[in-house]
Amino acid sequence: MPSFEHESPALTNVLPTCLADTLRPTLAARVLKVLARHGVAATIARRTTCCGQPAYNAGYESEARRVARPTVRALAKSQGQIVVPSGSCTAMMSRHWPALFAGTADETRARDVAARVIELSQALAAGSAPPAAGDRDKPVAYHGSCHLERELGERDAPRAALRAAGHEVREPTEGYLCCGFGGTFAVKLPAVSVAMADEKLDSLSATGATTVVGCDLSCLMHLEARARTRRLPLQFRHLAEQLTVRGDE
Amino acid sequence: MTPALPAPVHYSVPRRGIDGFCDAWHAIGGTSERITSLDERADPTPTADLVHATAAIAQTGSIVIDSSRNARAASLLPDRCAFVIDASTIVDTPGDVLRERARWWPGAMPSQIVFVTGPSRSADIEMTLTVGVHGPGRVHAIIIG
Amino acid sequence: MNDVAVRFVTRADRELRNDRVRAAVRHTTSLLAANRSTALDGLADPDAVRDSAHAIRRRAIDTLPQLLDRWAARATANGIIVHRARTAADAVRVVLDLADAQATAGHSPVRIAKGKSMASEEIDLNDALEAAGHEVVETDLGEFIIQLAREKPSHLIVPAIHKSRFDVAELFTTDAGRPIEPDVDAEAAYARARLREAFLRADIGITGVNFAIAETGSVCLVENEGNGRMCTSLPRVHVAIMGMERIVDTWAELDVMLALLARSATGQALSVYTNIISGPRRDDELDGPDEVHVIVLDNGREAIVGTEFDDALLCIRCGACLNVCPVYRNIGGHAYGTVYSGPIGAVLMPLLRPDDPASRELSEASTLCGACTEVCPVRIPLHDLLLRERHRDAPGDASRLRRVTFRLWSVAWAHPLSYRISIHVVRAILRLSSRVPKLARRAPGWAGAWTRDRVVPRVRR
Ligand code: SF4
Repeated sequence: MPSFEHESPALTNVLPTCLADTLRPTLAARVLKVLARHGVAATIARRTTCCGQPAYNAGYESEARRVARPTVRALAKSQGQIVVPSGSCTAMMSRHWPALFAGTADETRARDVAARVIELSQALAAGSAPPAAGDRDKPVAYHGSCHLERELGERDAPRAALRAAGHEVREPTEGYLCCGFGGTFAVKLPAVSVAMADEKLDSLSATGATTVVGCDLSCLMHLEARARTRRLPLQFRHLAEQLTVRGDE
Repeated sequence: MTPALPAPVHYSVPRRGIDGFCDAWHAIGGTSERITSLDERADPTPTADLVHATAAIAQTGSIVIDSSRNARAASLLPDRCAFVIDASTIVDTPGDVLRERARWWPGAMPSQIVFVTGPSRSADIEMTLTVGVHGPGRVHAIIIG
Repeated sequence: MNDVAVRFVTRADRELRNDRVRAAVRHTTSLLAANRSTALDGLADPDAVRDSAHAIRRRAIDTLPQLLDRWAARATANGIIVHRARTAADAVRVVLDLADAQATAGHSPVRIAKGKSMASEEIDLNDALEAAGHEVVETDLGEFIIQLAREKPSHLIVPAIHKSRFDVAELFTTDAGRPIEPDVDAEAAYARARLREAFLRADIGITGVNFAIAETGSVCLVENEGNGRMCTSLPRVHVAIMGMERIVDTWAELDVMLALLARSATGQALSVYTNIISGPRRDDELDGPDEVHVIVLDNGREAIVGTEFDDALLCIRCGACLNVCPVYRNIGGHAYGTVYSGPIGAVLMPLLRPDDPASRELSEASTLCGACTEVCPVRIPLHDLLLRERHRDAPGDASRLRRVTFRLWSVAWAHPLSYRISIHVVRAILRLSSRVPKLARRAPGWAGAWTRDRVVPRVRR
């Protein structure tokens, strides 16, 4: 395990999320870097797994509970804010955990954690940010993920963070439309999922920006997988990646 | 148990009075004229049946008609239709009619009340607007007073 | 069209391959969604009006039996004949009996002019009437097109959303026995002339109901074409079919509902004709039907009242949720295989037909993106209801393989250490399989479902 995972309950905790653990092992470290620039001292939460969302959204509550339990217990030991670099995981924890754990031994813990989770861009909105190094002034297309925009109602913070870093933020037409991922939806109804991704990729391409930034790796993973199949000249970056780009990559 | 009345509906751009009604009515494809008395009408459109309105609504450009004062068919079967509106019955909002039912229909309810808001229309084919599908495609408001 | 034996995914794939339909549905729904958003801006405080509408509808559902009784008592006093139908078959029986009475009175075959009514679609009324030898003509332009094509409506508000003017010209040409140009005005003119005859000869007019109003025992019906007014005015008998939940208490409440209905549906401030019907023709009136019947349809609704799902009954069938749904806009209404489609269909069908697997599986027709919930004028938490339905149904429904997969996954991720290990395993599999894309594309099950049209997700530092 990397050495920056140390116990310090007073710090802001960062939950890496299972998708970042799998696909972007350095994302959590980048989140720490971005937070540090905003004057927030943070640490990566230890002994966590996943928030349980994949099973919960597919209809399997007890499986979701089983997976989320270690995460609830680990985070309950911390104090202060819990920063999550994903809109949908944040929504899962803040909106659904209290119900998921209601009537179990972990109910109080789940409520406590639910009250303290905050999505990354929201955590940034609180502080003031010096512009990032890297490719400032470059236009980026922003993909507002469904759960961030509608479950959490967060539309301004990520855009503001990108602008503060010097980017021109471009919006795809009908930006509210989902990218088609939807967890198991992507494999239960693959053709529909791909059709949705294609429509989203077309509107992202039409912005003229070649970098697409979002706050949910799941959408970005899905769009990137389809974009590469279509050989579209787009690259996809999580907000934490975009804000920690070194030079022009 | 009578539940509390829901709060009145307010509009971003309130339309009021005769001018407000005409604005809204024209915007949805109606025509209008203002005269002081029906006798004064030089050229009463011969093919248009005259339908007497109970009220009219400025906000939405609606004309309220009912079956106790007019044959239902008069405002329905012809290609065009003229409504006679007494200027004093023009109110601001649909709520001014719906929430003041007793003012407009103090006795028994007519069997049918219709809020007519423009010419008959359809956009069922390719979202292309076409008027006069079943009801009158041309509607004219004669405002008296 | 209603091939329930075929799974939703198969129907969706089939509809998806129809590029022309997909383009038409996307185009129309985008326009309607934009119209809605502009129209709501016409209200000074749309959110407050929506809160108010939610409260009105919520109270109606919470007091449904009393409200219906109050309405029925007033309606009866006004001379309306009220029929309560527990099942679709009951409702069909009422209409068939009314038609038989006309036949006995010497009007045979019985001619029926129909306005747009989703409740009548729900009970498959046309099939039953035709089987009994009666003549039924749909008179809403879109519904008329659908009837000629022998299809089902594919949108709540725009039933023929999937038909182009060329399709319509073909259908009308066959119906007319002479060429009808693929021009919308020419097509509308043909429908006007053709259906005018039907109105004038009809013995019975059948319509839906947008709202029953308890205060005066009235029913309110909104429409744009005038065919609804024809059906409720010209035939001797008017039969209105309403879902039992479509009721408000007062005219003041109706004011709030009307402020939202047309705005959410088409972007109009009010529909062209808002009809409020309070009885048959009175003695001092010049025209109107001699009989007005209202059929109050249960058909699975009452069982929903009082459950965690009963917000679904607040629906006023505006169609706004369909217009913003990314799933609906790609597959259209027919893919659902049920009378109601889009988000509200996906919510409602598993509730109305809890014993039908083909209806139940519709809760999966969503990414839970929440676009529907955001626009619903009466604030139905549509995507939350879909999620709750999955919680209700998935553990018993899903294939054994699916259940076992989730069980194994949850066991693996139930401990931080085994979680870490499995993450490394998954990463290794992803890295490996991305090197052999051709092989990956042929992977079985969910893996192959991903890779058929998408590369393997890339692991990146
Ligand atoms: S669920 Fe809401 S948005 Fe959808 S049709 Fe019903 S009222 Fe309209």
